[in-house]
Amino acid sequence: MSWFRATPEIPSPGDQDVFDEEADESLLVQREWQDHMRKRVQEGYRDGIDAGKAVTLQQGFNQGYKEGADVILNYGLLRGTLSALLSWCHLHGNSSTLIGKINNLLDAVGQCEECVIKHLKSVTSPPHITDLLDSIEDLDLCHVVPPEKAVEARGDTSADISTDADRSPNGMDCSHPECCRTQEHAHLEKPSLTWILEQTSNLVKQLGISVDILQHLRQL
Amino acid sequence: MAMEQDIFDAVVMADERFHGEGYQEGYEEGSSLGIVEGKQYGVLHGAKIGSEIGCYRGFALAWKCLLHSGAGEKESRKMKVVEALITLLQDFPYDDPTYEKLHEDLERIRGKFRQDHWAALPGCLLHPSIFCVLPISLPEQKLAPQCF
Repeated sequence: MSWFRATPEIPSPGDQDVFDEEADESLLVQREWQDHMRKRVQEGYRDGIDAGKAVTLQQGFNQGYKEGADVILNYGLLRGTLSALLSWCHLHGNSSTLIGKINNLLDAVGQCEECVIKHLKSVTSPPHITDLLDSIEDLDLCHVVPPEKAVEARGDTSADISTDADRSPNGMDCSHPECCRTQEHAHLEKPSLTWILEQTSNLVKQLGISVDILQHLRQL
Repeated sequence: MAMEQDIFDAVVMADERFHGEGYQEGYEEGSSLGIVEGKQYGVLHGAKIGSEIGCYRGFALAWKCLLHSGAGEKESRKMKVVEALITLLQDFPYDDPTYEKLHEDLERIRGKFRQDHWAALPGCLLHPSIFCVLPISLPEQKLAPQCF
């Protein structure tokens, strides 16, 4: 009788052990498989990113290069003109006040350039035809002195002085970091560049130089 | 044996399928990133060239106008140098990053800018790296004698 009772007890622990071992092995295999597949996906993803970049990096560079060159050329033109005026002033022994004014305008142009470059870098969408046309129109607005302003510039000195007072804050705005972060950056930029052009035009008259020297800037 | 072969193929196929799915997703992401990163690099390089060429062009056009008002042998010789520089600049495709002679022509333009005929002007005013990057500021007493 005692032998009979002992017999059923022995197999049941064995069954449990076998079951547990099988379960453990099954889970291990499953986990290993999942880890392996996850790694394969990650490897594929990395390979895909590298391949995709390799194909489009040159294309993106060419787009950005042309965009940057075309936009900044106009600022370079203005800077070069101011540099010519500066060297002319030095040669003719003009007053340090006028030389200081030209240096300030050169600083302002440099700041505008930096703002524009930051703006171009932040724009990630590829340019469409309408966007490019808008950019061109913006450039035209920036670089061409409107006839009414030209007339105003020929007015009396007090009018010019008041214009300077009204405009200079915009010029200063460009020197602040916030200028590059605000959504109104594009709007602020135009008065600033226009202000520089007006100041340059006034300066040319003070120097007694023909305004034709700015003709290539008006054509922009 | 056949059973083992089938299982092996299934494992390899699953392996490649998972890799392919990740690759496809990464490729699309990489294509977008490539445009954005390439464009940022491109804008910087293009802006450098545009700024430098614009400086030369603006400088030369302004001086052509200044020299035009003056008369004399010295002025006519300088005018030829200025006009030669303007011609070089007009022909230079500064905004084409695929132009093979980009750097070669740029060096020619820089060299033309430093020609001896510009000796009448303070030399440092003409150095590209100076006036294209920094505002020019000089004490008056250090200037060469007036030539105009």
